[in-house]
Amino acid sequence: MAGYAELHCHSAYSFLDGASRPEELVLAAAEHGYPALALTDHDGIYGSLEFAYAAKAFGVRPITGAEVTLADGSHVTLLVETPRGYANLCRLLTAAHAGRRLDPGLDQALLEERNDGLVCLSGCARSGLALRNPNAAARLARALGPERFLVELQRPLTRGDARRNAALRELAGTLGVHTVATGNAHAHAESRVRLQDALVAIRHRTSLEGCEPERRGNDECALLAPAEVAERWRDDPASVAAAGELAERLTFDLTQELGYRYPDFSDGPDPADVQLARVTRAAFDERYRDARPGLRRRAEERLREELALIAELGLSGFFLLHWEVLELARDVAAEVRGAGSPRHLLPPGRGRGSSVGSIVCYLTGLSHVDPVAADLKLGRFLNRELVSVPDIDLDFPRDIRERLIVAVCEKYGREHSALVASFATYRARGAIRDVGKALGLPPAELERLARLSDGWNARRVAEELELLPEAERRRRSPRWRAFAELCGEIAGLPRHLSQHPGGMIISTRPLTELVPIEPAAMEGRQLCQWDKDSCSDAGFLKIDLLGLGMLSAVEECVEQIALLRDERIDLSRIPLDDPAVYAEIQDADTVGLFQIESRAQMQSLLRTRPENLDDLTVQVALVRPGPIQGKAVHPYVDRRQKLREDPGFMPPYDHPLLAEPLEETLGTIIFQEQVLDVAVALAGFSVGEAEGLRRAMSRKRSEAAIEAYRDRFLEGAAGRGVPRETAELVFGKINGFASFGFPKSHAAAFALLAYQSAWLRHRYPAEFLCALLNAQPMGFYPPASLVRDAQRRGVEVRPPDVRVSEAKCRLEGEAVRVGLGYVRGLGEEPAKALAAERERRGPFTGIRDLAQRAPVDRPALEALVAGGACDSFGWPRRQLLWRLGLAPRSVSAGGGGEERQLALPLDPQTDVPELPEQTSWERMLADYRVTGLSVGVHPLTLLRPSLPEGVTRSDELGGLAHGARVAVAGMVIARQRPATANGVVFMLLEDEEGQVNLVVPPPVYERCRAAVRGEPLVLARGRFERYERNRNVVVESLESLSALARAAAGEVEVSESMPRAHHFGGRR
Amino acid sequence: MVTRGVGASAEPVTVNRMQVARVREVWRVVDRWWTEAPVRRRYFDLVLESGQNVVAYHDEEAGGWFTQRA
Repeated sequence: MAGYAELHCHSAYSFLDGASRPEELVLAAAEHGYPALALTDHDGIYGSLEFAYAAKAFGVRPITGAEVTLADGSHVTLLVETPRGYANLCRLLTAAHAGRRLDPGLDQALLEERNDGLVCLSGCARSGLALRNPNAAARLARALGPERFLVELQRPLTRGDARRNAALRELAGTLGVHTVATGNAHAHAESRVRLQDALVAIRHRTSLEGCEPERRGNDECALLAPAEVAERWRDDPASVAAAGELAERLTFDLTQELGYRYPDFSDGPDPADVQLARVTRAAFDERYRDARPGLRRRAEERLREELALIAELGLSGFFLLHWEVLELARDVAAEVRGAGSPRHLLPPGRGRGSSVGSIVCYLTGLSHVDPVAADLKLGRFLNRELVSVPDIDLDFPRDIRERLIVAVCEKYGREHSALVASFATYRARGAIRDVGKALGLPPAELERLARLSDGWNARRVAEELELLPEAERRRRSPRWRAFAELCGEIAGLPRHLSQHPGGMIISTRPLTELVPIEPAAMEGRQLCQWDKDSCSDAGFLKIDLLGLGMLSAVEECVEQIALLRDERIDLSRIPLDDPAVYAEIQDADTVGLFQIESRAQMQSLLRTRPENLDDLTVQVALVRPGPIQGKAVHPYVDRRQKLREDPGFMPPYDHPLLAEPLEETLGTIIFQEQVLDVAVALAGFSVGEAEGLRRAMSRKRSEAAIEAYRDRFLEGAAGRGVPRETAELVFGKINGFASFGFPKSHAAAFALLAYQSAWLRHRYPAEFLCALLNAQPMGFYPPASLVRDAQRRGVEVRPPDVRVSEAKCRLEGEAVRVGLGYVRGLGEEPAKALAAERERRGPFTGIRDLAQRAPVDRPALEALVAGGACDSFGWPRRQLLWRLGLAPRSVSAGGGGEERQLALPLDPQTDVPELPEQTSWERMLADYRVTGLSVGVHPLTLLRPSLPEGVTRSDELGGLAHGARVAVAGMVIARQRPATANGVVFMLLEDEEGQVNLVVPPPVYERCRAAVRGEPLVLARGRFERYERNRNVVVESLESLSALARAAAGEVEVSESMPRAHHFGGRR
Repeated sequence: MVTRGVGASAEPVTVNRMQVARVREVWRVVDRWWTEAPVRRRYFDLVLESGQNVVAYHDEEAGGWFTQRA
């Protein structure tokens, strides 16, 4: 007799229902000795490929399936028997989701029609079709026959099991079909069932008490050992045996070839190789027409080599497909930018990643960097031992990307293309809010905790709670104890389906037979049910159409310059060696610039002092986890400095064999392809082997695989006479680097954009700020800090104003006018409608006129007043608010009857009440609260007179000696707790004159963690450190200035209005 | 009440000095684990030799056996 196999099992990909990851289920199944296990998540196969690979690794045979919701709400369990059945399951799931986002429901008639290769079980104990609608079950039984339709019996040890199963057995007898026992597992072990209870509460947006009928009522929904199953079904061994026998039939293997093919141009009049040669030749003649003969000759040679390699690898169609998408992007860009736009000189998008090293990519428009002139290697991107299709990422301005995604879908067909999914997973903040609500914990306390939790690892919420005040009280409470435990368990579980930033899959065979497709949140878009890892495992070709905020900003900046000055900027022709631009970069004056604006980048820039684009390429790649963990940063910075002081300086290399591959980075590993080069040079790896090593170190780090490569590396190095300790040292560096770094080609593309952003900011600071504000959210700094920085460089910034502002920020002469879109509570569309009304019928003459004509609701009008957008009417804000209350409305804002009332032509006769003027504090706080920025007085200017004696301003730090005691105060604009910094927290303070770097050592952090993490205004005391041009305050104590600010502001709440600091890092 | 077996496999043999003629159904209730008063019980729907129906449960939290009307 076949051993029992579980045929009904949910993972966490049954969102907010399953409580265990697929791997946990597989591991439990393997421990229990299951021969096979089916994954049957609700209405999807989101985790099936991940499950299938994990199951095979643990020796459990994976069975693909899903629990499908029918249109009437009842459930059936579908299991795949054959490849045809898999295609049908994908089609059925696609149909179940079509037009029913978040509420899938399959028309049963479709299942009766399209069920080849599928086995159908009659559904679960609560919502099974056989229970809810026996006649419908009978129809299905007839459609599938007794071989492929079985009545499903479950025994979750709830009252009524016996009666239900007796009725189901009777039904099976009537239909002439077999019964089969299933477990409906929702957790891999009993210990995880509490989380399943909590997930039910979260799904129903209530507390555990509030969802008693929906919960399972006991802890029996874990995966059982076969012996327990036998014991539970001792009166019905036949149904248990039926499960094992059925499992033996279900041999479809999802990890095998799915039959995917991308459109490879093989059906054209000429072979794809010929088509690609023609496309690149035409572009070559244009691009290299005026090139120096040497460059042209080298480029010719490179093109010939690449085309031969591409043909050999059978990838001509792959490049043609990308070229075709780029051509489509050109059309989309022309349409989005409009005729005669100053942006027409810009390419529609840019390549990033290792593809930038390819001349074929350069000539097909996939990249904008000439790899021959820039001396970029092809190695990693294309080599003879390539095991999968190369990665090509394309960056687009956001507006072009939005339209391109739809255009790609239209071109290749909705059955043949879809976006790649991603899964939003639980992190600390979400876990605290959701689990806390489920447990009925006080919302205010949860909110405080959530706000403190930036950078917490959700798995360690319990430990964090122990360090907070009132730990003892929480420890005594069973609810808080459960909270700590469940937050740890829920960490990392998928919460819902989301969209990958831009990955698209295109398939020759209908994609709907390879993976289910469902509608995305955004109208017109559709997602496949797999994330990028599953798509990669399935061998799908993913084209990444990424939206890059800085590209949008740069494009808009060019447009603003043309509008304001009638100057046409062609960014591909700007000088790349402007000394004034490099002077700013060398001084770390880089707020708002692409890639080189972070605190860590600034500190490094002061020492590396990039002088050209090559230096900037290294710089962009330098401050990344790879070089940091590979211990490359400090040696590189030191050596660069030595080289500057002594041009004859020879950087040390770990071994002479590394002199060549590491020459440009002074003996350190900074670029991803250097990992390959080092493995080739030191250990004699082939390029393919080296790429295998890099992959082993990448996304799914396999310790066993890395170990195997380590042995091979040491052996190869020994063969070249490299001492073992040197080989060990170098391998350690490679392993530390892993793949958390940029390829040089990618860094080169980013460095160019970094330079272009610096050049634009230097020449056109107002236009640049305007574009940057319109491209938010992006970058390291909140808009408030971008505004302050621009003001310091002389840009005039004007507040939002209903009489002149557009929805977006724009230029008024040389000044930047903040857009109405910055007023929170107004929204982009109402802001546009308001500006359009002004355009149509003339300026608003006063608050009453605004209230009558503006097509926005009353809270939005109040927000406009509160945020200072009505100041130009000439009344104080409180007066305006009072007058707004009296103003009749005649405009429909889509609201109720009040909004539709006709205006009375009478002025209010009420006496104007005595309303005290807002203080400077109140106005400034309202600006921050309502618009997220303030163009007026800085909070520190107001707070300065109340600060204790001896607090130093940021512009006075330069006069202090190294080691001097110092106190500084400011608004926290960024805090960072990098995984690589051993618990040190870095904070960036802003005062009225500039910024100050704080370094908070772990003991100080432990002592002052609440202030470090949550306070917007702080006073730090410590030691001033000056290393060459770097200036830091190493903090010894840190205190909140909230109480002081509150007192200074006249008992007005300050902290809540201040902008929240950006938080970075936090892995531990 | 007289029971046989221990732990999760324990079940009543005699209730109110009557032999259990048949165990009609067994179910479990695990609830309120997040409170001061968690519930963890194993219920038995029994037919006694007298023909009477009775529900007995084992309180797994506090220990002890209890009966209630069916």
